[in-house]
Amino acid sequence: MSTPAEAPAIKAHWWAKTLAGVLCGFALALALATLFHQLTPGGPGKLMLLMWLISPLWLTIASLVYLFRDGWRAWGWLGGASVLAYGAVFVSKLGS
Amino acid sequence: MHNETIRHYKVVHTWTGILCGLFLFVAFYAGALTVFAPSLTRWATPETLPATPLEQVDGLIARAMEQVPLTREQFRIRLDETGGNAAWVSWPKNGPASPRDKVPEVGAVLAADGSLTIVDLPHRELGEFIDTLHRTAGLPVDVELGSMFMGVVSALYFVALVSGLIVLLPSLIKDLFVVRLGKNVKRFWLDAHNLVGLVCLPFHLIIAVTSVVFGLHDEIYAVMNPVTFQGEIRQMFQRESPFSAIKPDAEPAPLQPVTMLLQRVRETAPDFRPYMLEIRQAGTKGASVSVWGNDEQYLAYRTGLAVVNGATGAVVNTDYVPELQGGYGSTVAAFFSLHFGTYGGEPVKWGYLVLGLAGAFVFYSGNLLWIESRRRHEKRSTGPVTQSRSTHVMAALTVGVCLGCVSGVSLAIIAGKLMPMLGDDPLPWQNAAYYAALVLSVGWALVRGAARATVPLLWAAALATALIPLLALVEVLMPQANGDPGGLVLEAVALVGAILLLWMARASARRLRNGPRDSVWSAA
Repeated sequence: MSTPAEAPAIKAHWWAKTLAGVLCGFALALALATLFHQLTPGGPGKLMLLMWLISPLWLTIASLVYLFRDGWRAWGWLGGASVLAYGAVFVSKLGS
Repeated sequence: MHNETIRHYKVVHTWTGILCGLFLFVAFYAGALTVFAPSLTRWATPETLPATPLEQVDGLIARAMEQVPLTREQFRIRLDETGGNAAWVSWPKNGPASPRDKVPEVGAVLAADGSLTIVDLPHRELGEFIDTLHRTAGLPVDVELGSMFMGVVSALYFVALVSGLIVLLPSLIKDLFVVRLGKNVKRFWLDAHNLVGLVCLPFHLIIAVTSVVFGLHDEIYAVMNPVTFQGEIRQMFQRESPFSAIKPDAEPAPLQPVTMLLQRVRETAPDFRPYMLEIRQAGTKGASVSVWGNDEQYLAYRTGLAVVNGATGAVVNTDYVPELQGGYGSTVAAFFSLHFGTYGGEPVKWGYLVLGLAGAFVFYSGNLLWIESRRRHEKRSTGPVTQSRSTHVMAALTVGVCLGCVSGVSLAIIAGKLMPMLGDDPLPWQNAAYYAALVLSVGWALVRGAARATVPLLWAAALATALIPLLALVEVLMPQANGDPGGLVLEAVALVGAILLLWMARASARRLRNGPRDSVWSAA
């Protein structure tokens, strides 16, 4: 058994990580799809493609969220990334 | 990666896996057969309506529009497999309906004297029954609700795939092609589960992602609407509709000849193989012709579509024609195609059948591993042990649901073949056959325990499946019901399946006799 001092602080934090993955993951996927919508030209099939972008992005984030050392880091990184992504959505909308 | 993280992922894999394993077994078993759904339907209910030569179809349509005003709203022309020598004209008996709606249809033929004969078409349902089972895992609820539930299950399934991969990564090189068939039976199942799971991983990832979308697309659109589309999704859908180019216009205008409509589509897309035309508002300037077809050289939607103006013959929309879909459309179409296996023709379809059944094996073996890893071991000092209630129940459910599903599908296929011969709608009989087999199997497994129930349930599944090739004999004895025997392929596959099930029954019986006493698989 290693002592707490040298043990790496990897916490399960099941609820915090799962919620971060599911909620922030979806928010981030939605922001990225919106950004894609604003930055690319229109065309047939685009509406469906945008919807199709959501689930691969969302599920990848939701399943990799347990790589974070703890729930705080999960929320920090994914929440921060979401805020940045929505900021970019806002800026690109101003620019258009 | 840190050991602790891998341990966490093992927990994630275990719980997501055990939560969705049984639903996925049913979805995959039925899904493997769904690849051949149209062939199954043709096998069960052969075409009863005589075909009309293509050059006589225009006369038939004109006569039908005179006598049956309903056909002005909508009618369908199904084409034979060569795509153009013979056709069957039909329409929904009680007014316009989508091809997906299950409504009674009537068909028409011209007699030698030019008069019109209208006949009720048989219910053609076997393929659709299997498809519904696939989409809802057989949950006895409305299809929409069932698909939504399976959308959530598929999201868990995706997490189970990624977590399984992460758990496997560290020992990947060491363990990959090693299947240890030794004393340690659990090790063997684990190796097999990992090997099959990893080899099929790309297929599983595609199926998981697409199934989440198929189950939850309405919900995803609803959330995207205010954020991505500024609340204008309805207008955007209308603009993107392939039919938007044709506006309703009641002013009379003759419908162009069917051969000319097909010729126009061929000029626009030479490799597109139409199998059905659906014509709405025929006889007006607003006549729209949906030409449904396929082109297996492309990753395309489950079925392609060209829209033609029926009054002018102009091809007005090709967004869903495989060789002409744009960049965005092709990307979405690739997802569809990779899910349904609608590219590359027959070899890919057989490949998908194998991948689907292999998937069912991964879920079945996953459940067995869950049970084994909770096993309490008998030690010399403690004497006999009893296994926990949860492992007993899970073992019984695994055996009952999986084998009940196999028996139920076989019996439903038999009902789908026999009932139309007797002139009945097969759907209630298919449902009765499937759910009776499922409920009896699960009940039997729960009452008797997994160990004692397994062998009889395997025998029952083998017997139910072996009845399918016996139907070939019925066809020989009742040749009038035999339109499309499909070269006895289905009968041959069922025979192989029955033999496999018998082999499994024998192996299980051996394990029951000789296996360790401290196991849920022991009858002691």
